Amino acid sequence: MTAHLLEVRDLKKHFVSRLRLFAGSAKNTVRAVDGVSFSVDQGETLGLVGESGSGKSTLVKTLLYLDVPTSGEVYFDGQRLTEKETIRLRRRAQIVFQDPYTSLPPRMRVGDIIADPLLIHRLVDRHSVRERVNQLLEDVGLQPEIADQYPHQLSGGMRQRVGIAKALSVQPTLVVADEAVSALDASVQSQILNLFKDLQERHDLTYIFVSHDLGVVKYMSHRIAVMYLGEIVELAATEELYAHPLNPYTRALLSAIPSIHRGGRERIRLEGEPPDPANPPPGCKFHPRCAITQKVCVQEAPQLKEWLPGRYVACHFALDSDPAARESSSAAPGIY
Amino acid sequence: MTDRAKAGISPEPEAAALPARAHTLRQLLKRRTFIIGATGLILIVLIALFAPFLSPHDPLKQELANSLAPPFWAEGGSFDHPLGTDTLGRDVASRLMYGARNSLVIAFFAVLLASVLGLAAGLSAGFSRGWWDSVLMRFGDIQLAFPFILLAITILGILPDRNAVTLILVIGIPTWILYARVVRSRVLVERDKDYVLGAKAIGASRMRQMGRYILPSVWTAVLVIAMLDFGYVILLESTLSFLGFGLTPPTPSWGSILAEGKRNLLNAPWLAILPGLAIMVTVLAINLTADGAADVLDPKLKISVFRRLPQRKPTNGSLTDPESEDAGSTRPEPADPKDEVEPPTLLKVCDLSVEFPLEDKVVKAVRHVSFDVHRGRTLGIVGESGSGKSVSASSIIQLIEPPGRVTSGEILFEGRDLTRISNDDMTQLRGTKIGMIYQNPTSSLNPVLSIGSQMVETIRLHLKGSPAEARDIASRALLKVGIGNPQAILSQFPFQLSGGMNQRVMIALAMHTQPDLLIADEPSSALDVTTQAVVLERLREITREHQTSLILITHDIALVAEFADEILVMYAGQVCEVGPIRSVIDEARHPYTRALLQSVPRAEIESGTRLQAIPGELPDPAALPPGCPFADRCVSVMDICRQVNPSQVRVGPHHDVACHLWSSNKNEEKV
Repeated sequence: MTAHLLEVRDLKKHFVSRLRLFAGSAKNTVRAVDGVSFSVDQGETLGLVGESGSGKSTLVKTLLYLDVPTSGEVYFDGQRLTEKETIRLRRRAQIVFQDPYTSLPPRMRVGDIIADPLLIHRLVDRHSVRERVNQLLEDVGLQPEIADQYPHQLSGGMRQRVGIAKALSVQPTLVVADEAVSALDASVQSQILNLFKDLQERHDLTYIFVSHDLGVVKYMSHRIAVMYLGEIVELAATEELYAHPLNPYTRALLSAIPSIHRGGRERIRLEGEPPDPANPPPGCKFHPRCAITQKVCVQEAPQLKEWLPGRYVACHFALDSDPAARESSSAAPGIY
Repeated sequence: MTDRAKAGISPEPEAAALPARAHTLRQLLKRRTFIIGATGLILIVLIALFAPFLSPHDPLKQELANSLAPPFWAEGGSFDHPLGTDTLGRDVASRLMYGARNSLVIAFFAVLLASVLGLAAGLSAGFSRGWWDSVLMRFGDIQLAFPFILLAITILGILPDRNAVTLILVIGIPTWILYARVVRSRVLVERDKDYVLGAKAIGASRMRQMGRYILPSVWTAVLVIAMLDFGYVILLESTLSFLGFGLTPPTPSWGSILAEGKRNLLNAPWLAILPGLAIMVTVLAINLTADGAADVLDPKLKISVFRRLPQRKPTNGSLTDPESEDAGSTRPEPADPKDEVEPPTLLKVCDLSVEFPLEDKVVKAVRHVSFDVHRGRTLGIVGESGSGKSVSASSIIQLIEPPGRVTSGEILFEGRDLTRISNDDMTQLRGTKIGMIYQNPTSSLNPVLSIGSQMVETIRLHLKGSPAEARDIASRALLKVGIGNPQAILSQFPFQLSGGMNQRVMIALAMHTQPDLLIADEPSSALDVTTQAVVLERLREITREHQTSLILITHDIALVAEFADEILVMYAGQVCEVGPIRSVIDEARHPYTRALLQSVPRAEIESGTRLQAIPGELPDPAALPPGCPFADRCVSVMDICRQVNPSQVRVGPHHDVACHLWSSNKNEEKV
């Protein structure tokens, strides 16, 4: 087996909700994650980008077994994960959440929050807990005095640092950041992003960095996976993805980002609304909004395959895409 | 529950815990209801506790010769039996004191039993959901459907001997459901928060997730219900005793004394009135205590106690405010007439300050802000949370949430000062000449009314006309914001539409009167990036078409760069930099603007570069430094920055900046 740190194969998470109390069979299935496969190597950062409802958050929660997958396999260090032995995973993989106001227990002191994982996994004896907590606080750029405070006494940026210290306490290999900087103000966001980078270098961490912000993902990631309605539609090295997006959805997404530069940049307008995830269109899920839709797109869902070395795209026309779109993407290489 | 033992990582957990508890106590002692209630309750408990020493007689000792003796104040009464005697000649005062003992002890343990049972049931039901939850809650429903007092009477009736323990069990066990329901609903809210998922992620067992993470957030609710329930249980126990199902006679309890009094109501009224009074005073004291404590212990029930200060009275004459103490209050110099010609000014905000007086501090949300909005142009206001950008905008349409108030400045809209016009005039302006759209479109619309009926209602407020005409206007307005099938949208409800669609409805609603000014507060922040682009382009088209001026408030400087003509950068309630968009973006002068441009990761930035992060945190708006609020985080900070708040200086055509770096340069130029 190859030496991927994490390998996800055909992972699915479907949510079934009954529509009416007495309608019996009227079930509504939302395919939040619908057959996702990818791998992450030790020390790299995989960016996971998508709009709301694309299933990126569900995907990371499912692969960490915080939610049980409907089907599919997750291999960590070459070993298949099962629901029974998640405790092993809890020491190797951690998660940092989006909202620093709800992700920390409100009635626990910062020191206790960071110490709890250490006590659960019996990583240190009780006498040296305090020392280890101080060390962790220092690691994320906080003063040791903060250990005695409650989360509500701290600012959003400080809370997020506490969340990171808590995640690092078990010395994990993989850290999943689920929109970890989205709730922060611009001036604090950059501090936290740089902290993530420093910590990666210091502790040889592997990241899965989830965000809807294409700028944040680009800054953090080595490779990026773009999700649309529960599927990965494009996966490539960061530079290549931004320079030459091969999937029409990725192109539209990139062109929608506002830019501080002057310019009559052509924007790809996505008409129509994102489809209802409980009732996605047949064939390629993007076809009703796509600029280059053909007959085959309506009939057949494209598979994610490697069109060019290291470039995975789920589109029937990944390489012979609309020449106009290609032109616009190569006309302003500095922008993308 | 009270000894929420910490894991022992703090060297002196008690010492550290003290300030928090002392604070709670201080807050409690500020409430008069709590003081009165608690004093009464403590007195009653003391009396009950020391009944053997305080009571003049044995409560069971009969003195048949002296039966139905009146209390001391009535004729024939004596201090030997201060509250008289009953039919068997037993001392009423002593019986009341011992009765208090029984009533309080039974009530206390019944409440304790019920709350522990309820807490355990509610916690486990809410946390595990599924069949366990269904079984417990349906069982609770059945129990609630059955009259409780009837159940108690049936059980107590078949028992040969009724002592305190049987009463505690009979009263305590069935009340678990009161606690369980509230705890369960609290747990349902808490368990979906990320911190519980986080506890799972670090490998905490289910017991640990419940006990260590969720329990501390929900147990205060139990405390509050327990206190309220305490009074109810005392009443219940008295009721049962009154009906003859209380403690087996001759053990005294308030209810049984009352029952006896009822039989002699005409010849010895005190016998019924005194225990009645005792019950009433006790329950009142408990309820007052519980009420006062609920505010403090359970902040979810807390009602805002902000002091409401009177709004500034309209005054005539002098416009400058004597209160302005900051050096930053000097107005920017008037525009150089040689500068390029600008369209006429529609809105002129001068020296605006807004304060929010809180319980123990004053938050200066906006400090001496001045800006102009030109006809048909878009002004982008950029700032982080707490920068005062939204408050500035709400003050334009006089919709600052109380206790906020405008403390200085004027807002001139077509020559009228909006801070001084009447409410009716303002309401008129708001609907017709000034429109507003907010961040969250779905919550801005009424969820139970269809889009059509909401639009028709709003349109008919401003334009007289039949519903059919209004509907016609509505569908045309929707067409203009790019909704191709307005009839279908009009019949739908907000929850059936996406955020982007709802925001377009809001834009259509705001724009149908063709206002002169539209204020958009983070109009696209809740939307996805592809939807945001579409919505903002529609907004730009429609405002251009009607020559509407737009104030675009956002935290995203890139958005302003693309959509605005002028930009205003705010930090900690002050203007940092203001000017034409390209001038400010391409030649940013204020260190904060520069940092903002460099610190945000952008898709166009080469990967591998490191962000220039701004160190430190935003200043506390209630304790702003005397100098420049950005001084502590600024890369080019000088001594003067910490002492004097810089005033605005002109650095280019219509381009002003509030920074000492440029004021010194300017002085040199003048020399």
